[in-house]
Amino acid sequence: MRRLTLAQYRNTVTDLLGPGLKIPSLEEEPKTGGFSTTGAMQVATSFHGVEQYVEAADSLARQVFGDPERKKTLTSRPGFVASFGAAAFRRPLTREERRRYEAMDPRVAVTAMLASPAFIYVTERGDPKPDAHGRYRLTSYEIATRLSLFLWNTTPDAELLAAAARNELAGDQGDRNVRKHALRLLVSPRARQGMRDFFDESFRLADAAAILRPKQKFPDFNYRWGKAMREETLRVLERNLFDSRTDFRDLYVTRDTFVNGDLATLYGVDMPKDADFRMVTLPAGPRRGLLGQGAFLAGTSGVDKTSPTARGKYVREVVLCEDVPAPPPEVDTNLPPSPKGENLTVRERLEDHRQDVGCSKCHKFIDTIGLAFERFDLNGGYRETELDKPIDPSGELDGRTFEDPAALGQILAQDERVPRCMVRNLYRYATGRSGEDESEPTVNALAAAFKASGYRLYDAVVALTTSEGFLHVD
Amino acid sequence: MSTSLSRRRVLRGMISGVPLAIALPRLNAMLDGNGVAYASGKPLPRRFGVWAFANGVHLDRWVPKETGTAWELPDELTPLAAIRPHVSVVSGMDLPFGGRPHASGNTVLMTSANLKGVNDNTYTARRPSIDQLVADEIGRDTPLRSIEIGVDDGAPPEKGTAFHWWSHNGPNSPNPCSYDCREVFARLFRGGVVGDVDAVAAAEREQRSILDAVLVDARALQGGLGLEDRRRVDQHMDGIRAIERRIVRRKQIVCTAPEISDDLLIGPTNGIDYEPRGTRVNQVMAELLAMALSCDLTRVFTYQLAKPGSRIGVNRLGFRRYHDITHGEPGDQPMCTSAVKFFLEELVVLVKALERVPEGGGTLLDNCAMLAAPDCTNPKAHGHKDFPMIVVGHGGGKIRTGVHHRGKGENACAVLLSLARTTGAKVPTFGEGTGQISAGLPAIEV
Repeated sequence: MRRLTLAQYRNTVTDLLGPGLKIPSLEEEPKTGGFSTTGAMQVATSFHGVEQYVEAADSLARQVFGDPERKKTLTSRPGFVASFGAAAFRRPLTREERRRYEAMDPRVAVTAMLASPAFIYVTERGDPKPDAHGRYRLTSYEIATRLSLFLWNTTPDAELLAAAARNELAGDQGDRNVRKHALRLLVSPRARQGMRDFFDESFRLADAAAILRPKQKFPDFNYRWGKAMREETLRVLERNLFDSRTDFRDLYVTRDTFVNGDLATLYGVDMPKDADFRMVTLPAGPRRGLLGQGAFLAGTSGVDKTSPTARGKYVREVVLCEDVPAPPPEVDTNLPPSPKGENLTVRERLEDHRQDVGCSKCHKFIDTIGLAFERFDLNGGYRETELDKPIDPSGELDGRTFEDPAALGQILAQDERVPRCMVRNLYRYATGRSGEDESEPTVNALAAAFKASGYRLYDAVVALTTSEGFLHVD
Repeated sequence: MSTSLSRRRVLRGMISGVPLAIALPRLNAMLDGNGVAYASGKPLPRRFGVWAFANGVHLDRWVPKETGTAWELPDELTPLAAIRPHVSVVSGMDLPFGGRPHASGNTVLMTSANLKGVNDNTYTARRPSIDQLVADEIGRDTPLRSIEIGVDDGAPPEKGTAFHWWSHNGPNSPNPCSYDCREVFARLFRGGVVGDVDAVAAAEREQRSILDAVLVDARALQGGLGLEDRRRVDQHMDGIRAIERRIVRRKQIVCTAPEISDDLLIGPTNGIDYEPRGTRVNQVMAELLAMALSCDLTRVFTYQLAKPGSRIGVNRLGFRRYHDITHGEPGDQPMCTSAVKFFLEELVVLVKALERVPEGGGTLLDNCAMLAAPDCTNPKAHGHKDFPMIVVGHGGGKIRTGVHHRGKGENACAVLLSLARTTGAKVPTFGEGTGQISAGLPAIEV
């Protein structure tokens, strides 16, 4: 059972009641499992959270019924309670529900339906009877909902609900129709926004948008930069998925990206300061792909210095889908003063740190990746020296040494873990599942299909929507 | 019983230059001749709360050298001078479980149980936290079973609920804080004036019909769900029933809705710098909580001044992300020490707000029992041994104040059990496994 995420709630309410309503605040969203959707699958609503849902329903219904135009749009159709209920609950009302809600004053009925767990929670029970392969397939309505929440991040539209009403998405023969609707949804601009929401969570872009720097040390820093960095990465990913449809792995080696005036200065591209985003090919150099972008380089940095540890951790967790344990308590994670004196680069300090046997196990695993990015400062700008010493940009990933981040990009582009991580994240986000074991067969199958398609992300998304794990309950 | 109370006692103060006028109920009018119980004979309510800060303290500057009643305030405790008669210090006691730097601090302390792993390095509470155990027993008597207030919500992007929240109803069932003064005010005094019961009767009927419908739908939803999902729907239904009870309890409230200037009802700090906004939020939240407790809207609270692993920034003290400097500040960490003192000054704001409210022959603080603690022992290593704890309030005369008790590594959660029981809640046992205890800490009990 999944609770609508905050974004899904917002989008759904807008679809049901029209744009421009003031959406009341709801409980903060847990990201247990890594995504808003995985948290929404696990976490219960608190006492206060339940109050907030009831009040939000009241506020929304009053906004609609207090506005003659909105009220007319909503209620003028005959049998509006049943049709609104079907849209809100993502299935037709039962006879009992219909009787109960139709007996209420229309505003109260709308309030009650918006406050109903049948609206707030998405259940995925599946067919009561197993299919020929012993699996329990989701019902047509459940598939319609899952598809729409995944691709549009909102409630299913009328066409999907109509297809579900005709039971067209059920059974093995339903796969063709699921695919047809997936392709239909993907053509819409709403899919671009929906998949941006996925990329934003998957690549932790909110961290970049929130970067801040002490004024005294960085007088030129502008809070717009972080937002521009987030937009850059989103545009690059969106283009790869929807427009170029080229090999996803290119995203780790390409020099093509999107910059606006702010980022152009940072990356050394000649462009007016106030220019809007456009696609550019960066000059030859070490800045390549997603890991040459500000969102990664600045989003992982501390407020006044880079963190090779955080950068390495990002590559492990976000790019390779590997777990990095937090340091155990009772360990002083402060770098000790070095016997060699104060004037040490980050690399020198961290290498000291790795002499400590207790720390070295994890830090070797992450720092040797992160240190390779030291030629990019905390804002993502390029530099060749630290403390007037030349920066060594070499590193190591699981026993393979490389000379600089561009070479690391080449290695990652050939690493099977990278595309598998991408489809695993898509799968988790789309289904809300987050356990490794139960999802492994589906993720492996999706990774194989991804490879067979030449790593076209668009194909992976479509394949996911008709995959075993997407269409069946556990 | 409250309808005749039209005059209001008004608290006046200044918040960053903005006059603060919050009306308080004339609760004393409801009391018996001696002012120590309600006229109806019911005793004055007792309250239990937890006040949280983050990232630990320096024990060499925190733990008083002397034990017993004659002890000097060490450097990091100096802000407590202003409230010293109302506090005790407990040191030398350990959390029964460790493992995670932050989440283990707050969540183990609150549950006396180990964390429950979810997946991918994420953790939740294994059991309900003690505030909710108390609320289970005494929360039905008040419109709200408990309230969770937060001031600064800056924290590292960790995933599990054990990391973010002090209060849990059980696994994956946290009680997140409200950070918005307007939201807290509305929640407390919504439907607001309690005096005029008839005027809200129609609204109540409507609300009941909505809640009834929601409960019917919730029951229908449970069919065919797995155990964990059924529990989640149960929790949702508990939430609905709590609202229903609130409609009933509302009639018993002894307060009139206070008047509060709209520009005081400010939102979360969202902050790069805690000041000045956080300071104001803390002041307003402290007043709102004092009102809520005084009006008997709730008797149980969690007040997270900062989230575990807080990234709070206080430019004046020289840092923009507190958690970064706890690990990163070299040497004796004078900046971290100034941060600890800064937090305690914010605690004093709340304690003073409680102390200003007259109740019976004394003040609201006499009938509160509160623990103030961080989410881990120390800034650098984030351990959980020798856990720093401050006891605040007199617990209706059941709590010994003015003492420093130094334990010998016993379970620190015993302190919470002592405080919780001052409310009349029995809480027969607390915790799980090697953390399970049934006795509080006699050293702080009267």
